[in-house]
Amino acid sequence: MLFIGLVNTIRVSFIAIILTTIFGLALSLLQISKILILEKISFFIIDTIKNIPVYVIIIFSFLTFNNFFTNIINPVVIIENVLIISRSGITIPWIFEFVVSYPELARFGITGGLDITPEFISLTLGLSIYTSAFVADIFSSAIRSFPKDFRDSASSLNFTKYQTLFFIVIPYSFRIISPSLVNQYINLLKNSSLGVGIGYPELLTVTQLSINTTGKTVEAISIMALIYFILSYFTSLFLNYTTNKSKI
Amino acid sequence: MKTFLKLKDALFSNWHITFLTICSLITSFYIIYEISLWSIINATFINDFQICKDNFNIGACWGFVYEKWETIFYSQYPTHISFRPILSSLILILPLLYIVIKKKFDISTFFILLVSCILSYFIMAGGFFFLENVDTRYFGGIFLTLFIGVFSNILGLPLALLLAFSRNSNNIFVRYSSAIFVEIFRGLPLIATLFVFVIIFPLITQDSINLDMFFIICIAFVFLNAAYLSEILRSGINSIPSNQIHSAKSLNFSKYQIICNIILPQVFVKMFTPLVNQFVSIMKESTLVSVVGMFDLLGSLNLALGDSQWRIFYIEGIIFVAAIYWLFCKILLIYADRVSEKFYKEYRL
Repeated sequence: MLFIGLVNTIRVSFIAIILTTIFGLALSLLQISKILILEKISFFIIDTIKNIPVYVIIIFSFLTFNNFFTNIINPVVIIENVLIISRSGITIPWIFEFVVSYPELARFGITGGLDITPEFISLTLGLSIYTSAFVADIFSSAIRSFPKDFRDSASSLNFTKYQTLFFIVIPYSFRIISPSLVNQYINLLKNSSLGVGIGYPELLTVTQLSINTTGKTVEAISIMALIYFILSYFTSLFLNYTTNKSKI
Repeated sequence: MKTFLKLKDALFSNWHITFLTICSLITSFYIIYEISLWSIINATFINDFQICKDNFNIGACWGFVYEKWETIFYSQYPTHISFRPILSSLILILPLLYIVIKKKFDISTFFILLVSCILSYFIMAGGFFFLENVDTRYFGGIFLTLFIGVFSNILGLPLALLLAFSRNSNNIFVRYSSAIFVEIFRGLPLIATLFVFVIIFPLITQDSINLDMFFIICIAFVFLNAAYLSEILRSGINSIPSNQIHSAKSLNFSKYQIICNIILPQVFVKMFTPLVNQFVSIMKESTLVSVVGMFDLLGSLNLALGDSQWRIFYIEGIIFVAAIYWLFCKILLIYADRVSEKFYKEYRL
């Protein structure tokens, strides 16, 4: 039971980390673009998100998505056998035990496929939006502190602006920022336990449930603590590995 | 004219910059127009449900906030004595504002906040003079958010100092016990720690001490904050060059004098911004108490949304609550900026 919670936690944080990186990169690119208005807009967005609690963002997205999905009375087929939107969320094809299962409309609801529940969507989006503000600041400060000589030598080698950005600035900066970036990712992983507030079955929710059903409080809590410790520990081990590898 | 030229250079120096500027201007104006249309021009400001509902798809209904602001601000507190939560929130806010405006940061700020904390608690709890006694489970709303933020920092700071110094001590037992304490609190998610406290505390104390939720949460936040603050303080302590301490020893300073006169003043000046950042993040994380059953600002908003009639206007409610949090955090961050500027001028850090 706790294993299911662990899998759900990892699932949420994995997708949220990818989304965070994309959002954060986009915001930081806006911030370092030499266009004044885009800079102001991204500054405004980052400043607003940073000063609002993550739980408020998650609750907001949960209420929105929950409202959206519960208002659907009959399932809507967007693409036949691939994408169905219904009361229980979005259903997509998924591989179960090496067999691809396609969602299909049956007499009562939908069979097959994987349900992406509104809780999952809102938790992932909320976490990734919140963390992306911090990640964007890390990215943009790294790109700003990029040595000017590198840029000059790149331009002397006839690199275009975008080539310089994607082949020199970003790979080089990743090395510098990886400690603080991974710190934010660990924060995201720990914040994913907020799913307990909206009813997403992640590690903490499942722990609470198993305490209620079995009554073994201390055991369940220590297993949960151990799992969180191992997760953070392995992430930091991975960080050490990458920093050692990318050392110049 | 010079600024105009500068602006022109920044906005229209190049053809593709000009293109992007115009595009972003048009989109941002369109978004601002739509938002203002929704939030101000088409919005209703009366707490009449029928008018709000007719206007649902067109504009915002700030009547929801007007109808429910009492619930959002002081949740379940008895309504006939509602002046007390307002008074105690003011007692917490005004000293904070005073400190921010005066750019104060010394030992007196600590005592000002401590006194305001104690005073606001007694006004809320009552039980003396003409104030009737109110159970702590009715505490909530804006008071709870502010109280947890201020209280956990006031009591967390001395504890964090103790932890930070014991982490550097020569005694292995002291060093490891403090390290374990800090790592446990930092390794677990905040909400998990709160759950552990809420579940474990009644198990440990059994019936000997009748602790209620409010105290358990306050204790949990003090410990949490102490663990986080101690890491900040420890990095400050380690950053002080050891030759300062050696020269102090050669001048026959006692250990206590070295800590009070040499280490601490430098640590607090150096680590001021991270300390305020921690204050801000605790302020934000106090929303988590609504998960374990206390009604802080967000929790009492949920309470207000329990009214099924007004539930459809949740967006307005959340914007209102988020704006309050934003304001608190912004005030503290402005304080951090101004004081660190002052330090920069005074000490050339």
